[in-house]
Amino acid sequence: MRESLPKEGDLLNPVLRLFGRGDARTILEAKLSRKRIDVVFAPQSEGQWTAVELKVKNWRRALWQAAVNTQLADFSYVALWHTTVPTAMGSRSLFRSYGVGIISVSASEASIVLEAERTKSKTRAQQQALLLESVGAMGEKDGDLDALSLLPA
Amino acid sequence: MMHYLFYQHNVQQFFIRHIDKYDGILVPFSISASFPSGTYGFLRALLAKDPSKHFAMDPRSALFQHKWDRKKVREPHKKAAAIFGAPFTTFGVERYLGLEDFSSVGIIERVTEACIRYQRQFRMLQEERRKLDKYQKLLSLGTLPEIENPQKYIPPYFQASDGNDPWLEKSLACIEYAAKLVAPEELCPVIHFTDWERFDAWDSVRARLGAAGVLSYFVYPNKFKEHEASATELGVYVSAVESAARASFRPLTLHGGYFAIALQKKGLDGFGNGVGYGEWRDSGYHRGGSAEVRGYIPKLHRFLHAAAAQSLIAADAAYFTADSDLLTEYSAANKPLTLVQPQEALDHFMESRYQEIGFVSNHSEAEISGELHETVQHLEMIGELESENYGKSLTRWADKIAEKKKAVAGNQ
Repeated sequence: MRESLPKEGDLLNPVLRLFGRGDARTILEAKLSRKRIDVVFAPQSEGQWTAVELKVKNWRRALWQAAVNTQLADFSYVALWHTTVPTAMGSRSLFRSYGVGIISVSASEASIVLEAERTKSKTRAQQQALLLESVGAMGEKDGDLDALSLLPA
Repeated sequence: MMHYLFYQHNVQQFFIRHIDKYDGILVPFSISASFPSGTYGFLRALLAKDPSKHFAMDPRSALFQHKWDRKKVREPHKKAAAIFGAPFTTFGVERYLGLEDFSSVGIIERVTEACIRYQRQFRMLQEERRKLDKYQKLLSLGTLPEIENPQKYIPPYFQASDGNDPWLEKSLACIEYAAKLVAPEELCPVIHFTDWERFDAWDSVRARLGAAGVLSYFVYPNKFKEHEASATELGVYVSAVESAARASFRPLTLHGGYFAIALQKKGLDGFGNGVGYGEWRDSGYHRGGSAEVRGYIPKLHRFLHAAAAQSLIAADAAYFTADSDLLTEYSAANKPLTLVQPQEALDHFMESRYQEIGFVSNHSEAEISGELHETVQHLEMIGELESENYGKSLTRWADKIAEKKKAVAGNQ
């Protein structure tokens, strides 16, 4: 019997468990100009930022979004439902050309099947500072985190 | 080519700063009805500053024909409806208008007369001296003469799917009656339709317009997005423009972008756009508010959100910032485009649009097409996804612009 596809939100917890073990801050729906990145793991101080786009099936669209996410994150991934991964891996050279990695997600766990590569950016550090500023501003508004959520490290 | 800007009351300074970069102003009824004093005072001062500027008022009557939640009717809708009177005021704000609402004797004439009367009287509104003084001062004008600028009148219009759609007949009846109220050469009606491929009535529409003495008209395909249009749609668009020009009509497009600008080469006489948006419009769109600021990328002839624009510029700054002082400055200073302020983005858009119009005016179809192909080559060098997401539309445009005019007139 064919496994039914999950909802995009079902991919979140396995991805959080994959990256959330360190001291990184987890930012959901992080705003990057008009778009929102599903999940960003930001270091508490110095360190590398990681962005993840969650997508059940449409890996090409996820890749496009993840490619743009490199404007903010040092490492950018797409997290795909495991049944979609083989098709995406068939285009691994395309992922590599954008430095985007692939995470395979099942109901119980997530694992990296293609490592992301750090691409150069002259504006990334400023972009990260801007996001942290907006996170700070949002954090000061009690109970108003509908657009930008912080999860405890 | 006439370049109309849609008036927005919240960016008046913008219209002053760029007064040399557009030819006319289109004022939606919903704005003039909601902010009559501000709109009138500002326009009167602006048009006095440049008496060559054309202006027209867009009735946007098709809004009331569409199905949308009437619980969301706002004051601007009610005020716009009040200009037309019944059935807009009696039914249009309660439910979508149907053909039956325009079936009684004399209703088309009454609605059209109200619509045209409002437009004629707008240029002669009596306003408090104090308000006029404010705008006179804003534009550093010594005197504030009455509006004498050329005005085009737009009769009520409705969306039709094809030549057999009875809504087309309603729109044409409005135009024919309007031609009895004002000189036909002062009319510039809107032919509003669902999509290019289905609308097949250009010959008969032009026959009716010609018989009424109306030679210029706006085409308005609903939600027509130049970048998403298929080669077939673009082909029909080009043919409709070419055949109109061949028949000595002056077609304009109500909402257009760079492809519309390029159609100057095929006979398009003008186009309109919003400030920082407005290359397409859904006539059933009923929500208000200002559009979110986006960055215009001149080489792509499209808006991108700042992060996507940054991504592109990071990949090929030399090429993609070449036509823009703003993009060049941000790139040279390694400043992220997310820091671009709304005012900067609007100014940049206007500069870009002005350059686009100038470029098309001064270059051949082959050169315009060549510039688009050059951009596509740069996108291909950056990556497969850039080529796929940004390059396809440019290729379709380039091909259509380079195509030679068809010798035989079809029904387009």
